[in-house]
Amino acid sequence: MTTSLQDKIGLKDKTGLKVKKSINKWPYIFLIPYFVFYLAFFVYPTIYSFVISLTNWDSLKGVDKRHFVGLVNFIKLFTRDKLFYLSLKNTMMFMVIYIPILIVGGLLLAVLLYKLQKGSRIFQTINVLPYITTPVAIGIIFAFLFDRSTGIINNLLINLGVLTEGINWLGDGTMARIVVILLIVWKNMGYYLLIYLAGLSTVPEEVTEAAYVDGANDRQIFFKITVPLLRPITAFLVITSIISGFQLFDEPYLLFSNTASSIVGGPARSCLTSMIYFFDQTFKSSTRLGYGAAVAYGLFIVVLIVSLIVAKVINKGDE
Amino acid sequence: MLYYKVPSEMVLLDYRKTIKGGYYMNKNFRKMTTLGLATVLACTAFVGCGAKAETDKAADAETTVETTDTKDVAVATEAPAAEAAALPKDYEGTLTMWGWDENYYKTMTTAFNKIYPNVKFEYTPVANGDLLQKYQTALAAGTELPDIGWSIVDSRAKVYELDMWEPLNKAPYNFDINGVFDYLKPIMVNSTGDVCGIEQSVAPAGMAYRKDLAKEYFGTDDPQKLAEMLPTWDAFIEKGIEVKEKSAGKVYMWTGIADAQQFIRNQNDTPWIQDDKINMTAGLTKSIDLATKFRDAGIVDTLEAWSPAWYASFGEGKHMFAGCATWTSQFVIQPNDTTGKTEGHWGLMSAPEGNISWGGTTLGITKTAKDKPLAWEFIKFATVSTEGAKALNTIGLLTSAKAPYEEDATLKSIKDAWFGDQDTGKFFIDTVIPNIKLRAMNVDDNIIHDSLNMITTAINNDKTIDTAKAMKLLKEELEIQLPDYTVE
Repeated sequence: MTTSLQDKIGLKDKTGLKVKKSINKWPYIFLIPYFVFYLAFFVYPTIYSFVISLTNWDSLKGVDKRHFVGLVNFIKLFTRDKLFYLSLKNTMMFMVIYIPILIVGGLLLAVLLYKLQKGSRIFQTINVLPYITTPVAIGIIFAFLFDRSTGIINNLLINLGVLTEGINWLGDGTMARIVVILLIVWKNMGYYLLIYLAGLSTVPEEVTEAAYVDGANDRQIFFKITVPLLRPITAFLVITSIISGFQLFDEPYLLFSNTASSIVGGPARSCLTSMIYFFDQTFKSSTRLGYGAAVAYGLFIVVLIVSLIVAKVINKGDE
Repeated sequence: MLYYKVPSEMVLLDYRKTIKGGYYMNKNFRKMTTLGLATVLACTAFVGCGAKAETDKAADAETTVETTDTKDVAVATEAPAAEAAALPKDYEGTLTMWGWDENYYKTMTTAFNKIYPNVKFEYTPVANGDLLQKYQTALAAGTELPDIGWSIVDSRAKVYELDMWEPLNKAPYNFDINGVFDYLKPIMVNSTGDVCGIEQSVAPAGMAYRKDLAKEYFGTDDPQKLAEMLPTWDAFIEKGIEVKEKSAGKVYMWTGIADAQQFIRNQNDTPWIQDDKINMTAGLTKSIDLATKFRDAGIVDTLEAWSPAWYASFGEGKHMFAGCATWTSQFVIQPNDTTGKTEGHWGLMSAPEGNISWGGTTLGITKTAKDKPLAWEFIKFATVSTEGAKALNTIGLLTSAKAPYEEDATLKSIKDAWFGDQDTGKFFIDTVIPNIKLRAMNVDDNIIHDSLNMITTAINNDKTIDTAKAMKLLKEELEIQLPDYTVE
């Protein structure tokens, strides 16, 4: 006896004869635009960029003088380019500092807000607002705030008696890094808060209640129950933060590109990240599109290796 | 094969239980609405790469200004010196431009339309620092370039090497470069000697000073006497220390070291790059040395050039001197020194150790221009004609061509309320231009410029860096940035 399911999908009609299942075309019609878009604007440029990286294309010399040179650009990048390694070092330094702050800060904020009876929505909104503000506006405003002579931060610190003379926030290498990290933490905390809030709602209440009944205090519950149960979310955040961290561009670029006398990568190139270096090599300081594409792929290789290592470490931890 | 239509009630995915007739209508309506919305959503992804002209407008806020003047031209005007026998009113078409000076654009196109009433213009604002990138990407992607290309001197060496310019010295344009001031010739040609653009106006620069502060601390506000008091930068520093002591540190000679240095570095005409070597010692030592001396003497403020605080300082009256080109009054002084207009705060004098050329923008015809003769008519009008020079004069600029001044000597004169009775135009033409020493351009100049800025910031920040250490840091930096050159 055929099941009602088979009746419903019409595999067999009541006489037992096979019926041609009519293919539903609508899912394909809806998916085609996305795939066309994906192929045209993601897959093709990715492959074509690799092809460009194997050439000596320089805008000044024109498309006609472009020749295939093999891996010359990559060899130069990995053996002779000190600025590439400086940019990688700066990027990783930023990541090593701001990712833990964001993960720990986001988690703590989420736990505090989760327990808040009233007003949690307002605090959530306030914390997420910087995340949805455009980076251009943030860069310009922070440049105003941290200006050595007229910035509010220096004026505030001088009036409070903490400083006698304004700090050269945007003119000193170390200070500039601190400003960039502050900017990134301020901007992105809301996102981590949201993800952890969503994650906290998956922590079963029965487990925490049972722990309370057994006499555990808040601290023990946080470290022994909440954090381990949020491990998949933390793993997701760490890996995505690392991937997006290597692509850090907006904040340092917009902070230091406001004026005509601005230096690429900030004072002493302390805030030269890999993406800023790529953009500068390709379109700003030099016009070598082939070498710029090689920088982008060199960065891709580094991100791939680091992501694989991190994923392996996290998975080993799981085991 | 037996086909039968699956009754709608048995479709697995559908969970609605409604009246049959109404059900069919709902289902199709839903499908069409969903398909329509999905199509609209997919189309929005193509917005950024729509029609060629729009590619550029998507990047910046677009201002399309069309100026047409179809009124009868009652004013008697000269016929343009053109090879063709066509009358101005016969020229029709649209010219596109990307620029950063809307005031210049409006003034010149309005004046042009008085003679050529049937020509329209389209203008797209672009930041001058983004010009190289925009031209590059348009060339690489094969999208449309503007008909008339602007080129600012900062990136000109690179921009002129892009394969996008019509050589104006060759037929059918046959522009004679001897028609402009001699010192401009090296910065109007590319490496093969082709003229890729003609200067919109000259950009000579002297030193502006606050007359009230000069009177108070030097006893005079006469430019000649002040120039005699400050013949060298060492004399400038000595006087600066006196001013600092008299004012108890409240009045500065300049707004910042970087600001002063961007003037000083242009006083030396040694090319920064020659063949495969960088003339670091011959070309850059002096400006670094003066930067450390200024810092150590404490005679300059710490404002970052071109920052909002720097702009505001022009209205505060605490900084005595500033580099001043023909464009400085319009862009920097006038918007920020609101009381200066009635009080004539400023004077213009020769800087210690020589005046400079500072800035400048050329107009050229791009290879993709649809109507090159029309573009050439506009460029000739704007850059070398007397009518164009008159229009320029109304916005305080001086034409780069020599002939208009011979035809009409009043074109030399610029009266600027912020400079009181002083004729700044005459000062620029008679005093500054004849003695300008211009450095030859090189495609990698911008990297040296950037490295100099970096070292200047380091000097500003760390008082232990002296000239020797700064030059060492500069050498290391240049060797990293430009490994193919020898640094001398």
